[in-house]
Amino acid sequence: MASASTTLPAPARIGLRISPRVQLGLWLVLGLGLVFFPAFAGVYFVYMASLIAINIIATVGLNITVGYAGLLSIGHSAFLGVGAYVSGLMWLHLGTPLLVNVVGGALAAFAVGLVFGIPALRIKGVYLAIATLAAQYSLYFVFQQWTSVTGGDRGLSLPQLNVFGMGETGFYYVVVAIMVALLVAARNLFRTRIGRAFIAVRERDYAAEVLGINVVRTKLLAFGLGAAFAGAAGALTAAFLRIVTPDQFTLLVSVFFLAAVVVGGRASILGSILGAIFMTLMPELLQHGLTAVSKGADLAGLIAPLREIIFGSLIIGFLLFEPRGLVGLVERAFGRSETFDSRPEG
Amino acid sequence: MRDLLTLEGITLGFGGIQALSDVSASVREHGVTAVIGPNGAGKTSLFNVISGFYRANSGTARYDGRDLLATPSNARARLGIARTFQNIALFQGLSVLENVKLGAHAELRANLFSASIFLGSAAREEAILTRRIDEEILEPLGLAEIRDRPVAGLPYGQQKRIELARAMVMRPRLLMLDEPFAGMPPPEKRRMAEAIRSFMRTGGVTTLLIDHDMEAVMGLSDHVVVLNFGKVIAAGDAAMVRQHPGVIEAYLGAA
Amino acid sequence: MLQFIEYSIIGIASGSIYVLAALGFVIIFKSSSVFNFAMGEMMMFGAYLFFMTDQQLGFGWIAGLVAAFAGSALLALAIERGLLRHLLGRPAVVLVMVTLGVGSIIRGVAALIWGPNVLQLSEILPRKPIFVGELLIPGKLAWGFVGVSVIAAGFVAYYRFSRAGLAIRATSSDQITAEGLGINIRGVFSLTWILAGVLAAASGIIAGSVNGVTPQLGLVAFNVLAVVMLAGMTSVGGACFAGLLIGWMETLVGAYLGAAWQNFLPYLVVLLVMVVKPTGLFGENRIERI
Repeated sequence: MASASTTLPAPARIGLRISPRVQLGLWLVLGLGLVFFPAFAGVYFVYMASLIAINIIATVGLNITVGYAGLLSIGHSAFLGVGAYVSGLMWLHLGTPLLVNVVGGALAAFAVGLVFGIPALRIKGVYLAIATLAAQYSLYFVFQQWTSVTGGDRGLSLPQLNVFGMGETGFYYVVVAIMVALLVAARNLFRTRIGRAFIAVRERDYAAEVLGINVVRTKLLAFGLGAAFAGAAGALTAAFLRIVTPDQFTLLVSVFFLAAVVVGGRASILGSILGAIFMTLMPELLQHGLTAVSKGADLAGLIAPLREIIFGSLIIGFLLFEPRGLVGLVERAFGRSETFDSRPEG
Repeated sequence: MRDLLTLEGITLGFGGIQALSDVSASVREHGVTAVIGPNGAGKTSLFNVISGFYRANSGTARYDGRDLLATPSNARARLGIARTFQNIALFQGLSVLENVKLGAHAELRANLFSASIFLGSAAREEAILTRRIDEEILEPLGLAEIRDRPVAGLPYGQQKRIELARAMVMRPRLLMLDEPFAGMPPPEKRRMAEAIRSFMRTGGVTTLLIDHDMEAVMGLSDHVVVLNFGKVIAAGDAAMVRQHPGVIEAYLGAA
Repeated sequence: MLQFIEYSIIGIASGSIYVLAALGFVIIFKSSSVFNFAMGEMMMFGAYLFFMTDQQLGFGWIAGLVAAFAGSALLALAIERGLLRHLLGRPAVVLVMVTLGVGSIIRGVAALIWGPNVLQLSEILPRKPIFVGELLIPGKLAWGFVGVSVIAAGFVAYYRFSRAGLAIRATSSDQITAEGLGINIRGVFSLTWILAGVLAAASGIIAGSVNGVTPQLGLVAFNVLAVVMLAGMTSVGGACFAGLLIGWMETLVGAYLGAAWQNFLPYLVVLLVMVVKPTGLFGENRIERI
């Protein structure tokens, strides 16, 4: 986009060839759309939008760890859990406002993320994946067993939140604002040496060492950051659902977000957004589709198995045919055959 | 003229293989030292010891008066040691510009906070770096047009030059080049040699290079160290080494 | 003390369920460095095939076994040929996701066909408890142990002494050299998957006999992760030993500390292994050269 003689920082990660004026226009439309959305959408849609925004935050976090830094983590739901429990407990025992709780949840998750990152210093690939799996279950065990603090299987029950006196809609604005802030922060990271270091460590850590990159710190930071995003998402979920139980943070949830990253597009902010939207909407669409088709017959028992089949097929389909995920499809639609992003090969 | 880097008695073995045996060499400051030898002589292993990937079994390395082997591998860039790799270690997921920027990683200052906000100190240092790279490095190396292209898929010669660019950005004191001319046709070799020479003239840099092609390095080097089977068999200026019977035998004898 | 011995024997017997599944993981990983997260679902599918052929279609348990082994082998082959062959060399995250995706599909299909309820397999493992002196061992576990021992012994013998087994070991040790020596690498990949499929079916049937069959049967594979990690992902003998060891530990922990700790134990083992020796007790160190 920029010619060789300008000194602008690297172009936006999206890599699409759009003129700056059109880009600005699009952002404006998007911004206005987000702001005025609740005015003409029903309660259900505002609910879904809040859920999608929360999932986007968590997916971007996982993408930083898995997509950009190449560290295979199947334990993401543990970080959501830490964020949810810590923020819930802060609210219950300290009465702190929502934003403070979210920050608290994110920081706690960051710390746990650093610990999760320690195995990544010695092992990689599938071994690391299994280690994160075990670490995640350990946290689930803590959530379940530390009854005095977490309430065990019954979990935490949180009072109703009323943001700006606008109820559901107020919450929507908070979530979207936090999401936008985090998306901008994430994108900015990859315009600086910090983001570049993640990618360097992913591809060839010995070469990164030679360039002066502290591979240990980079890997730990990749886990910590990803966890912090998830912690924020978890804190928002807790406020959203008003209940926090261990069963909200299982392997299935981790796999959900991993799928969002892979289907949306690894090492891509836009991919994370698309992936999160897709994974969140897919079961809903399936449910509506089935209800429409069934014409009253009781197909409720079919939903869960069908969801699994579709989920699995989509993952495999994307991995086989469009390894760059939804972002790859989008870029192809815009006619970019030769695209670039900080994406890994394969 | 003093020695920037002195190696003494470096020994390195893995399993049953002795990669380096009692290797000693001096690299004079501001000069060009070449390490040559047939394939498998241990040249890259020596570089890897200097870079810190392999831990020598015994021996010392003094760089600018300090104990190099005691310094962690990723701290050596901050000491001004830059290196290229035989098999080109560029990062495919990044553009040419971004790859080159990574050379400056050690001197950039952005942290989590300044990077997330970007506007302000992080944006400034990125802009300054980009300008410096454009003017001082990409232009002279003929890489300006492909600045924003992904590195993946670029021709071999260009990738080698990008790796050199990345090493140059660091403004290194010691530039280590592992087979910078490998796989290049003669005209490209000349271009590469010229780029290296002009960089050396500007920077006050000390160069240490590996190649197994004697002719390519002879014109460039002040001092040549010859390795074979992990041992130093000759060391001296180019003319002397060329005549050395042990060296001739090593090259002819290596089938 | 007597109780302890009884628990120990039960533990070792129930650990035998893990052994076959662990062997399946190991054999695939050894040759193609793929970790098959769909192993549990393959076990489950084998158990359902047995159920379908034996009870639903009424052909009896021998036909059931044949159908289960053959069907499972075919499924494994389909996964290997149809999917994984096209994805070799892709990064680890892709391979993990693919096998997870396959597992999902198999789970969904099984739930669609056979429903979510627990199904009981016919009694090929006699239920009658076995008495060793004063100790009581549940019949199914004991006979399951016997069954596993036979199959495992057969498998290990095949692996150690047959030409095919040699080919597998050669491929796992050094693929390029093996290919240079004329070994059909692709054939080896397919073979290991087929073997894993059969092992999965056997393991699934035994697990199903003891606990009943549901689409969630595959979850037991997560316990097998601990076995494989402890043994080392490339050790056949280690998998046998570790399977029994983990089964033993789980039963004891479950008896003395309760179900929650029993569920946690495998993951705890994995964490310990990762911290102390990631390659496991008997695994080999696969190094990458710069």
